[in-house]
Amino acid sequence: MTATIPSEAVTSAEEAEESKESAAAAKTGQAKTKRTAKDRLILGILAAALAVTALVAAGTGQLHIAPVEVIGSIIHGFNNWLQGWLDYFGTGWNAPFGSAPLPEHARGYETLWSVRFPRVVLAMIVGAALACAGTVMQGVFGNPLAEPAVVGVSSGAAVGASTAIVTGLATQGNWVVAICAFLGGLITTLLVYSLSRSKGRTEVVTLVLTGIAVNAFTFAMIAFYTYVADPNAREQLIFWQLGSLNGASWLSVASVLPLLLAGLFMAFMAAGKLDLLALGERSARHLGVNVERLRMTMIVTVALLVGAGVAFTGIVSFVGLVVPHLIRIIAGPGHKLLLPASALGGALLVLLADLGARTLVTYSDLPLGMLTALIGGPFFFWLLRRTRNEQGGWA
Amino acid sequence: MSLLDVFRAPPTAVPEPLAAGQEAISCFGASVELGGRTVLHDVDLTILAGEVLALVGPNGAGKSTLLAALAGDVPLRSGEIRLAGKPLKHWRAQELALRRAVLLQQVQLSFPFNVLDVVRMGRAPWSNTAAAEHDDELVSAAMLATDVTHFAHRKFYYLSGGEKARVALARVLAQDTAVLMLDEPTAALDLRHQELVLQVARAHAATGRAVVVVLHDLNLAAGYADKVAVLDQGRLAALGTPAEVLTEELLSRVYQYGIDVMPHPVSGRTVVLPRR
Repeated sequence: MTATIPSEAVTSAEEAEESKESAAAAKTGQAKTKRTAKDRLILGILAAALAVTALVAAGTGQLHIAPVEVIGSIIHGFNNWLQGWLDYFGTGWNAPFGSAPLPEHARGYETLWSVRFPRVVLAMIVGAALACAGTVMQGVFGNPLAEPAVVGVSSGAAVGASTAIVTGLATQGNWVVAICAFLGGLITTLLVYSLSRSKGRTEVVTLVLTGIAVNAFTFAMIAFYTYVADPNAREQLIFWQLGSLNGASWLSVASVLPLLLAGLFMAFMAAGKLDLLALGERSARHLGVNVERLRMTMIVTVALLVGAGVAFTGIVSFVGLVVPHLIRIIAGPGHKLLLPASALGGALLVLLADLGARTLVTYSDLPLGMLTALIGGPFFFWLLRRTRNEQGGWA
Repeated sequence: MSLLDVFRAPPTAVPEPLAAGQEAISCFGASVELGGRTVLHDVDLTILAGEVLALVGPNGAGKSTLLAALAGDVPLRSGEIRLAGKPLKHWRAQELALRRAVLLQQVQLSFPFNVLDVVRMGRAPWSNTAAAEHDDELVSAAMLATDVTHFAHRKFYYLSGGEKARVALARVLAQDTAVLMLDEPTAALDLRHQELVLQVARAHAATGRAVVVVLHDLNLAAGYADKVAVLDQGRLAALGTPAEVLTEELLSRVYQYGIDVMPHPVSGRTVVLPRR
């Protein structure tokens, strides 16, 4: 741009000084594609906190295992795997990490690998998936109150998964449950999206009311399934509505991990476009975004992520609301940082919540969804009030 | 991010600048229907590179609809609109974004981005091109030209209406396109900033760009436009230089109100005033 700057643009010397400073700041702050030091710091701190929490969570429970022994057990597991391959190729070598410290308790190693690790990993998957799903939904709806559980997408995915259980399709394999959860989530997201939008945006009232209607319907479906199901499936379905990581296994981890990875990949690829969408659909289109295509890919993304977050754990609400909000306060609204930071933050939050769920009351496993809703409910209310004040009404 | 680059689209070619006097936008018999009502009848219009064209007319005359049609936002019932000689519907959204920038009347922002973030969004279409290396210069220049540099780090949400409008204009200028479409860029602005915005528009035209601007203030149109198009009930009532078009007879008829047009006693420039 070579526009001459009208001399009136800058009136006083003071203002000129200020302008110069800001212009310099604008020049040096090249946050476009490269991550700034602050971005890396935020991601680094979240990742470190997540790693430490995971170690502590894996060691905590009826059988206590020190973090060093947890790390030792991970190394041992890797060592055993390596040994398997070395033997397979008939090398006769010994894998090098056999001396790593093992838990003192005889069944410690076994407990970690068959119960604790899958649960910790599933908690992180569910948290990352739900937090990112919330972030993407808020971006696409242009509304900071969109959240998978609030608008009914989570319960839609739960209906999909319940269908698989009640009809016996689930006996075909865990992945069938995951696929059905994805399809249930996809149908509900499409439904909510088409019902709650008018003139290119979603108003708070419409969104929340649509959520109430969708939730009423999907919970009725789950209630119906609970009624007709055999006692075994019934128990499973009740756990669903409460949300729990109780049944975590490596099989369930393997079934939802592909959904999470696909969803995260699609979300990260669209980060820049989600930023532009904040300007509204028309302006985003003027900036070269193919809005219709973005909308459809993001609906699929949300369904993938919610499917991953719901398939084996049921409805864990408000993660997608609380996490992106806290991250936005710390890291700002740019999706290039917001999405990965939300994934880490969501994993951290669900891990902590699950740790609370299984340790707050001795010898019992509280429903995880109940805990997150206890925190998330008041938070949602506060956010609703704040949104109303900022917009000067229920716009 | 280098691994992700594999999945990105290949770099897009930077468009050639328009030659002086080349047709930037041409509109042939364009008609638009909204909600079963024809809001634009048979409009023929050409905007050349290097020219500022003002769209004026009473409320509901179809100014914003015409601008939306020129931007490719609303489908035509009949007729055709070309950008740089090629029909609008044959351009992809990404290609259009490198060639024309649009400032809308309503400025919205869903999340608490700061002013600098918003202006930088204007550079998004170029991120895949060689021109991306000029991003920071163009952003700084656009912010200086619209006088928003001193609140670069404030949150967009907390700005006043006029400040928001100027930031939105800075975003559009940063997009650095050969065609600028501005829908009432002066509506929320004080006198000094109104003049400033149109001076920026003039300066852009002087560099060989084409500018289409919807204006309510006929004096601004008289003072800054090369050509004025007067719309009346969805039809083009007149098109020509300000001197040809801004006449008492035509304006009084279109606005259904007595309007005087006279030379300014000191400068001799055209002044448009409603009769009181």
